[in-house]
Amino acid sequence: MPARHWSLRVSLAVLVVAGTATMISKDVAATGRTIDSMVRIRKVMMNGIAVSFTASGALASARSDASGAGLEEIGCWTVDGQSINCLAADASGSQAACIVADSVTVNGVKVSLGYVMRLAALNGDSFIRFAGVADDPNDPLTSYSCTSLQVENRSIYSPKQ
Amino acid sequence: MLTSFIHATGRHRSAALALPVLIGALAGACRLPEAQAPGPTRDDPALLEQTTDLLGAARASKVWTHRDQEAFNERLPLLTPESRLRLAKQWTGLITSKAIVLAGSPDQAAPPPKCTCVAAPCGNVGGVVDPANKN
Repeated sequence: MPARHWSLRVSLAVLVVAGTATMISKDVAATGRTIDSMVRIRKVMMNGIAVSFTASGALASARSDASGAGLEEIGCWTVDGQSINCLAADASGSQAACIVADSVTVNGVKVSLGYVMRLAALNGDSFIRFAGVADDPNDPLTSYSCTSLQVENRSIYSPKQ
Repeated sequence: MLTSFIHATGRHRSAALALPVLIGALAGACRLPEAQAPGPTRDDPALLEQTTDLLGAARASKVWTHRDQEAFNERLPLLTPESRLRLAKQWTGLITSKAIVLAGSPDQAAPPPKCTCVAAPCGNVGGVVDPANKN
């Protein structure tokens, strides 16, 4: 697959509030800050159907933690430069995927949403967070559209082991 | 005066020669990533069927392997944007609902075939006693 594909920053405060950290990198442990970099998927369920979800995690952690028992995976890529696909799987077996076109046409003018550009900032030690929403919340096999993608490249996330 | 005129003209000529080179270099350095081709305007029916079948087979087996993902990613750009979006959307639904489960590795999804040999007594190969192992 061609070099796929993505920086918005989330304040440390948000991460600390959001994270009941279960995995603390060596660097972070030394400073006393806790950064949750495991793959996490949170789904909002309605009638057994995920109507929306958020997924986050560090690519490096996902690789290091992958074991035979459970697969952790997270990432986004593009196959055509015009849309991006995102996929996440956490240690508990939850999975989430979404797709979004990189541009919209407004009054006949094509406007880029910048998703593909964000992919360019993505590297093997990045922390990413994306969100998806069900296209048809009444369909058990509904498809999902990505509604956001954040890419962070910060020293608080330990590099791959 | 004539000398300075020639000198100035010479400088202008140098500048005139250097300008296109500079513009060329800047254009190269500042080139934005080109949007990739939008893809074909018509679907190859065989390819469309193969890609649809790929999702169908995964749904039947309930497993999505790395190999499936590779094949899917290779075929999608060869389809029309409409088909590409439709199939990719379908894929997101199958994954998120866990109708298909991500395989940890290709081996995990497809274990190696088991040996189908029939056990034979020592020294007996296919009903014939091997003289080298007849005890």
